[in-house]
Amino acid sequence: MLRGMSVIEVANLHKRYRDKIAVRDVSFAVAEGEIFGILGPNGAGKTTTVECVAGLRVPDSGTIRVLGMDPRRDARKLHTLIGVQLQESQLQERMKVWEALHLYASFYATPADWERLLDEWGMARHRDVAYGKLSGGQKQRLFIMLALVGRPRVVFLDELTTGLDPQARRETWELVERLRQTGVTVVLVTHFMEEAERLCDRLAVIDDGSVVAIDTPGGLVARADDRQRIRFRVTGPLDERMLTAIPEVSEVAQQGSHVVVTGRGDLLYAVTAVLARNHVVAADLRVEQANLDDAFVALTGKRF
Amino acid sequence: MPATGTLTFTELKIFLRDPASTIVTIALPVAIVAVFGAIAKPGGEQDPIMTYFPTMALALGLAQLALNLTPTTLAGYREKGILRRMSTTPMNPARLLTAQLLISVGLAVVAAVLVILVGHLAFKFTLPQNFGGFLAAFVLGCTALFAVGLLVAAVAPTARIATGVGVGLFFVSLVFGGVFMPAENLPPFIVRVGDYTPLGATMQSLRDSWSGTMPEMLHLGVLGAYTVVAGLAAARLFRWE
Repeated sequence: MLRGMSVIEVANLHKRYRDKIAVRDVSFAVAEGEIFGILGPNGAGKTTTVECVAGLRVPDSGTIRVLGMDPRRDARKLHTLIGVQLQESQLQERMKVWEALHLYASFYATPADWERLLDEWGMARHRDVAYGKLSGGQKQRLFIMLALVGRPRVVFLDELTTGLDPQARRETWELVERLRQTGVTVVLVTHFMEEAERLCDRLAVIDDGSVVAIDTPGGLVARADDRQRIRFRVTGPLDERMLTAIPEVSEVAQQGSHVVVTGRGDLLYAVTAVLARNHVVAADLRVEQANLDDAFVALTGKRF
Repeated sequence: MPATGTLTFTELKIFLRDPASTIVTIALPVAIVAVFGAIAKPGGEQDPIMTYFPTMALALGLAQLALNLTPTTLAGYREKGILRRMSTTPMNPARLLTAQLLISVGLAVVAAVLVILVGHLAFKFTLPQNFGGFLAAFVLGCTALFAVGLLVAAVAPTARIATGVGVGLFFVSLVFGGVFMPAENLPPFIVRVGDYTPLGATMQSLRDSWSGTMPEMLHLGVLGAYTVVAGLAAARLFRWE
């Protein structure tokens, strides 16, 4: 369904290291302009997959096309068109922010204006600061800028927020969201459910080297578990039958003054309508829905 | 400026920003020749010991650069993923190694010129009397020592191990190479071993040329062999990640 507009096509990718299969039969396609997530626990094969796609590793078998090119054979040309932020990749401690940008800009024939990048990414104040003196969040900002300075069409971001405090992580998410507006295609590797759920248009869930599912975050959640749970408190007695009679409801449980209703579809509306009609006041009402965590458990049969 | 130029210039700035490495490679050799010049008062004397001080200063600086700083820096660049990051860009990370070598050799030349001029002008140490032999000794000494340093960087799994191996080689070389003490004061056995070490061969060649004779073919041959063997091994074995 993505044919004609996909910028990355991976088919039947296999990669094994000495004693361990890192990636087995991975296939996916990434459409132009989307933020595509590769989600999975540590050691699932995410980084190996991305490194093969970016031309840093040679796959054992399978085909990869990035912007119509073979990442190994056309590495030179491809590297002018992609930007990569690798996991656990540093810079020289004493290199200043502007020097890094100036240097990396010099690698490309038509680089971005790095002075403007500094302004856009809120790093102008830190232009003369040495890399080693930057905070974790500022380093990530610099890495994103370095990945963008060649004006790439595809950007790979591998575990961008690992090791960041929650504040810096949220700031980095805002930066990635800003990337979406520039129209660049982003491949985001992460093991954070929340990150994938918030940023990605679609994502591939990888576990133990294999793709378990590819879908939108919402689609994955719905596929795993479309049940909802409504929890509320009633002051007087409640006749359960008025709730069990609702078609959307599959289960009603009372725990003291608390009532838990489980069901599907437009459950909240159906339940509150019936309660109102029967003049029952529901206090402390909460709706619990499955999230990506639940989806992952349902898809792989194990906790993240 | 073309990318390789920007790369080399940036690396040079970063190198000079670290006071320790600049002191060790430039200031220390000059200080050695000045201190021993003040103590020994050569005054143009031809005593063989007078060729020891300036050549020892040169060899020490060269060994620091080649055996100590180069392996640590390059293994660190690999360990920190700097080479890998560069390999995702149109720039070939091998250029980063070339830039580092250019800078190191450049600094070695600067240190050599300073040692020769300061020693000669301020303390009347003689100039290298066989200048062609001196150039041959210096160039081959550089290539042999940097080839060994590169080989350490190539195979050391971490920057820490590279430093350890480099420092170990450095001190062993100083002792066996007649840098720590003049070769004439060493037991013949140690001098014999030193003849076959890159720093020992460098040191003896430099002293020979300084006193006016052509360096021994044995020493130049040893340096050439180290350059070729260690250089090829480094190129073959270099791990990029």
